[in-house]
Amino acid sequence: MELNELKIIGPEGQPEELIVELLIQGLIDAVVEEWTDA
Amino acid sequence: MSAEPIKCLIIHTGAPANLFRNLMALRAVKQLYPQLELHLLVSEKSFDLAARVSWIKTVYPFAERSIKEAAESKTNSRPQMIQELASWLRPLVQAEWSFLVNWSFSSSSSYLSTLIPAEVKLGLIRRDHSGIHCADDWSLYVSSVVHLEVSQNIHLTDILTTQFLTALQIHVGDPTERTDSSVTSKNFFRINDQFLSNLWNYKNAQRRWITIYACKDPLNIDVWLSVATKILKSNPEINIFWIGTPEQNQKLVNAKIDDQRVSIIDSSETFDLIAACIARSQWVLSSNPYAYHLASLLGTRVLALFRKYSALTSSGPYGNGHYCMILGDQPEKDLAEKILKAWTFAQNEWSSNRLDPGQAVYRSRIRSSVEGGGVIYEAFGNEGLTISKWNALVAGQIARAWFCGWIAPVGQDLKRNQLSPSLLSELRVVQAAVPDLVRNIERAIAYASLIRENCRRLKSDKVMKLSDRKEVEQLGLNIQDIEQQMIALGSTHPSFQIFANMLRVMMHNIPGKSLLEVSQGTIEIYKRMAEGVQLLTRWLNHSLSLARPMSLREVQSKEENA
Repeated sequence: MELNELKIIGPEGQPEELIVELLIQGLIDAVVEEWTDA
Repeated sequence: MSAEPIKCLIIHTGAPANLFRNLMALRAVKQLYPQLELHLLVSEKSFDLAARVSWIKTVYPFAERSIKEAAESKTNSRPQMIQELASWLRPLVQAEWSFLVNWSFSSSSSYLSTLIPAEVKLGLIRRDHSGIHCADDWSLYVSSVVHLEVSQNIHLTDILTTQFLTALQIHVGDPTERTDSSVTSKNFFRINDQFLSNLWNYKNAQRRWITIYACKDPLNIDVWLSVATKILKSNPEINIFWIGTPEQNQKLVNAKIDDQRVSIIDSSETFDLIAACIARSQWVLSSNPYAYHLASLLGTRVLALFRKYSALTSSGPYGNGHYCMILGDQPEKDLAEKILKAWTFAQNEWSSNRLDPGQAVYRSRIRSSVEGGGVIYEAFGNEGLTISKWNALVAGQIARAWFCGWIAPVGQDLKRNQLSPSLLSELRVVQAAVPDLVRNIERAIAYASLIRENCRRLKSDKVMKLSDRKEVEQLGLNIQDIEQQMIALGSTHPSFQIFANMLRVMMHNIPGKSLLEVSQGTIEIYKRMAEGVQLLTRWLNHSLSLARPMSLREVQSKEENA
């Protein structure tokens, strides 16, 4: 699936302000920071 | 109310122990709104157990470990990882959720809840470029009060139940029928307990079993070994499921405890086996949340151990008749004896068993809705109320007043004999600081009102006369100054911490973008602060008046009116 097919609606209905790629990038960084095997 | 299925996605990427606790909230909501179609997005660690809940329609595993490994190994390029995650997200994004409830309160979950569209979102989300935001009031409370260990007494299961139910009531309508059926059950999970059933012969079934869950317990293992030895010695009818790590289990073997009466289980065994052992036990003894939340869910009684009171009130074992002991700073050499005493007392409260003086033991009780509902932990004996516990009591009432509109009778759960002279002198210090706090709140409301009036006069937020701009800026700085003073007050006195923390997070979450919306939002936030301070004042006055010397007639008349 191409990134631009991933249509999202932001919490305030502003998809133009929420760039999917940046959000997924943020998701990866947050997982790297938070996840532990504990 | 629509009988059509309502599709809800619950994001729960936290620890399995928290999932056990939150499943009770979800069960309570499902009982009231049976038309909910519940789907869970969980971390891989929780997948097995979530998949065993019959009323959950789908469980999506979130592969955190693989994501972390891939990100760190550099074998996959970032663009490739992003594409793979986008593909994984596709069914979730296209599913058309009515409700998305993020119960993880983590940064990663806030990205997930933003990426997945839903008509109504609860919990943490991301907004614009300003980071994490709370989509609802109860999330504000969890983020700023519960997770920062501010003294408060509302259990997380109750908070999450209320959060979800409130949203459902607003968007779906009242539940069709009330139900009082229990949310816990021995059959909460569809577990395969064939292995244990094969061993469960007549002899075993005749005995009483308890589980000691020692795995990942911060207590020294010798304490649990000593507890197990003492229990076996003084209770010949009891057998023990001992659940520990291989090293802990080896210690038990070396200790040569009666192996006929102890079944040793490796904590890495299947969820089915661990759950089956706990379900067959009459008691679970542990300070590990995994064990006591699972036991609560399965309706097995618990003796749970806590270091701090605040951890008990927000996340102790849920349900009626569980016992909790606060360890505090007691030396470890005395703990085994004290644990045994608490457990013996818990089994036979009415007998002659007595707790040690000053031993902090609590019993859980679900309050009736007239009393405000939810679980509370009642202390045994004449519990001296500390300022921290008094704060917890009042913070809970303030939160209920803010978010439920329900105000408990002032003084509920407060008894005259709990008020010590040291507590009273601390309350007087708090009382003396209240007028300054009230003045600050009134000033903030006045400044924000002036900004609002200016905005109404102005044609644009962006283009204005230099003098107007300077005036608005100065008013904004004044409000910031007040916010800083309130935060400083919160750090000096714990009774004001709830206001400081809530103010900071609420101001960060202020809705709207225009100056007019922000000023209106600021007024509403400070009005809410004022309501909270008013309630705090009523509790202060009540507590201080309760302690004043009274004639016998006054006492009798107060008791009659209560």
